[in-house]
Amino acid sequence: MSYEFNITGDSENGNEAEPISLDEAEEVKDIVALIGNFVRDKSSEGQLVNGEELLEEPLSVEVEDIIPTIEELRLREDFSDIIMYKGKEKIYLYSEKFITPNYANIMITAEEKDFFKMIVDTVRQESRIYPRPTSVNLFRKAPFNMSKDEFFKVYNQLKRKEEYEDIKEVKASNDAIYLYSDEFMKKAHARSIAEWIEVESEQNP
Amino acid sequence: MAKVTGWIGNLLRVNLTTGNITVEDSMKYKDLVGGAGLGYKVIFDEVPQGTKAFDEANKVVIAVGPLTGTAAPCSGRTNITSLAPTNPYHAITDSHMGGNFGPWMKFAGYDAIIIEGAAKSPVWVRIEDDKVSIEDAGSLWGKGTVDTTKAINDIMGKEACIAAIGQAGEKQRNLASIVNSVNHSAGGHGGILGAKNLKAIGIIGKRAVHLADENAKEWLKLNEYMMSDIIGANNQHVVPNTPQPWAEYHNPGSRWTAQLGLFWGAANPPVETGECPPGDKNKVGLRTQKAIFDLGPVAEERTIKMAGCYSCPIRCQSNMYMPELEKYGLTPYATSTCINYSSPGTAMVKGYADGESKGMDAMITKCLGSRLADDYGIWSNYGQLPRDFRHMYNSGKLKEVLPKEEYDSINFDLLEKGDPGWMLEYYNNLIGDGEFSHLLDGPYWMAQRWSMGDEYWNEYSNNIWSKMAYPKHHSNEAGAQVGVLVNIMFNRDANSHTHMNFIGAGLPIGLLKEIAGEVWGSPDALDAPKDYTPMNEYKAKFAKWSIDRNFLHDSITLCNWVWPMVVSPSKSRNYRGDTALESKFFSLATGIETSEEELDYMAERICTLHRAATIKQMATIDMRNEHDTIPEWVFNVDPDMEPFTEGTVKLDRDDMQLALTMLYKEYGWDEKTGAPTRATYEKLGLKDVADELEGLNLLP
Ligand code: SF4
Repeated sequence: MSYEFNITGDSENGNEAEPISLDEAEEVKDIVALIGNFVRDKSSEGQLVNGEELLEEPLSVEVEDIIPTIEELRLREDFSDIIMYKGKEKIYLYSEKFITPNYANIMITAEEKDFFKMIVDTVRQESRIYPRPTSVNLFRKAPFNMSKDEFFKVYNQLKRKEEYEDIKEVKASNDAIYLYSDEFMKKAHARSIAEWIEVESEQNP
Repeated sequence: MAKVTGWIGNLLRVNLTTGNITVEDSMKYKDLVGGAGLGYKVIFDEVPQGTKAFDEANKVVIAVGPLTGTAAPCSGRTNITSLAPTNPYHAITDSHMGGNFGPWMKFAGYDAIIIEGAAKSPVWVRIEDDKVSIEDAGSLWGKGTVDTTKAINDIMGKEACIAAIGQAGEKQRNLASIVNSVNHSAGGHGGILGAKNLKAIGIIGKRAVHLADENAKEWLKLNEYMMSDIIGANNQHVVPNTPQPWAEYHNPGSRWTAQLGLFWGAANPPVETGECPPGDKNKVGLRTQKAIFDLGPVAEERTIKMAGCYSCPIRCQSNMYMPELEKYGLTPYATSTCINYSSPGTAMVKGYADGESKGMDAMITKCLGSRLADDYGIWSNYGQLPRDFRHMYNSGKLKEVLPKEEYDSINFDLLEKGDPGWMLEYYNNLIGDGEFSHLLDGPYWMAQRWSMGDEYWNEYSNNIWSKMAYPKHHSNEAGAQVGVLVNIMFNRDANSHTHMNFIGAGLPIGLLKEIAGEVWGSPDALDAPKDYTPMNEYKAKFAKWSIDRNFLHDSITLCNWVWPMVVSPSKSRNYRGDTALESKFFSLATGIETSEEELDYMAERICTLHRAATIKQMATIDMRNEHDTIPEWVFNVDPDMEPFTEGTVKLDRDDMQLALTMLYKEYGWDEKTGAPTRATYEKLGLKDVADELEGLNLLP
């Protein structure tokens, strides 16, 4: 029995894909599963997969097949944990079974060296949800992995940018520097929480 | 008679005056669960009003509950109840120790041991199943807890568990502890054993603690579920303290320190904690690398392992390899749970020689101090002892009150230089016979002796809860009015972590508020840290629940540094915990099907009995004004800020009086005085308590 179907069919846009045979489709499906499992394996080790890696051994996907294959992967229910994220230059894949969207977002911005976004997104998020100010030391840890110099170089530029003017600084009494977003926290609040984290929590174990 | 399960059914009574040793039925206390509940009833019934802690008439009740000695997670703690020498009224308190003593007591065949009377000369009590004897301790008197433990282990075998006092207890210092297994200490009752000439109790037994029939499989299932889905790290912190791929949230204050590349570095071979996401029960014990939490990154390579109390998967006790201690005549090891490291650190009032608060000098100092405190059996009074020293030294008052010769004989140079050797000087002088040793009297008596003024009582950083003179313990900084209400209830620092574990769990405030709404009726039960709102009835419910669960845990017994399970680390449960777990374990162990509500009701009974015992000893029903007092600094902190503004923990006087009224109402106590009414006692099955208090004119 001959069976034909359309993988990427986007006929509304006149972007019709070539019909392929069942044999070819199964091969594609195998690759889809291979990619899905590859992404899961890497995610379980805390790593993202970027589109370029699919070109390499062992997957060796052809350049023109990358997008269609990923599209197929996203339609597969058994791989509904696989998330695709279009970065500035690359496509990233990860399994949300092992990596949360927030963590993936930080990894991607770090990978793309979009340090303003990485810092600002983190500070705003922490001020908004916990709420708490963010220690500048956080950015030296994984997945940020910035050196002290790197951080302060970026931070000094960031301070001069109008679009980030909600990002403010407070110091605890031990001089530890914390950042907060004044969209979500008042200065006195941010300062008092920084003091709690740095000094008071140890006195109230 | 139906087979008793969970409990053993026996209570051992040792009278040191007469030498009589008897065994009684412990099941008459079953409605009070065990542990603290049992202890309160014994003290209420048997210790005359007005007795002082070191009087022969005082008794010491070492008691555990139906979960002790089972495999329920974190069930290895032991409760000790007696009058407290630190308390201005010598009112009733509990001290709590981890380790093995409680389970060993069950294995020997007892739910509780009552020590009464006083021996004429030093003795120790030897318990091997039903063979119980009072032994001469002449050769042990004067020794520290380490040598005492070793000497008794040499007699009874190394499997025996020994609870001993050190020199602080022998000398009847108020701040003395009872220490089992060398470093699991219970604070505040050591001097009472000293007054009774009781140096130690050695215990070993061969019995099993039975679960109710047919329940073993259910028990295993429950255990599996709790270990996989519900339990977090120490203090039931449910998020890691660094960002990790699997974790939606993290919190820098979390005790869940496990992460990739973090080791028990002195293990052979070193053990990597790795990431320990929920779902894998075998990783729970790796989550809390407490040594680096307490001592900083320098501790990683010195950590041999994390250990802990019997049947505890959390393992919050760091075991350290510290060869530097040999210089001070000690073996090269140190261990600590709780604040055993931080208390010596506070006594270094001039910092450390290397200038680092978490450097090598700090680690050596803290390990050395922790060893000395445990060996001498000194209780830090939840860190108040070194704060008192700091206040005395920095204010110059120490120089005033110490005789010149004594002051000059103390090598304060070591302190000024930040030399770890200060620990030897400090602890040796505390345990000596000079004026300096009166720091061990505790705040109330010390302040009387040395005429301490308002600056001592009212300074926020001094942490003193006036006028009851214990330190604050997760009070106004922990849930606003909720923390304060928890702190007024006890006769020592509130050892209740229920509210703080929830507040500090590490989850976003929105999620915590949602959960608070489900458990206590409204999200308004919880304020965001340092962003407080006026009192409401849900906060009163949260406070009562926190207090009651603490009484429950000290009675059943479970570790309140982990329990209860209000939240969990499981994303699939949307971080909900399971507050019915205690009742499920209780039902399976005892065979008495008990709902969460029914068990909470028993806890309320225990709390009300504690209140009754306090009223009896204080000889007043005016709890609001005489007992439930709130220190000035709660209302004076941050002078430039108003209560209920973002960034302060300052509270309002009238609002706190309203909070007291609301709490009394929740308990069904008289709203004017805060004393339970006859109707409430009777409703809780405490008619005999009401009758006795009526005879003393102590009913509202
Ligand atoms: S958490 Fe710590 S103190 Fe509590 S039972 Fe476990 S080891 Fe003991």
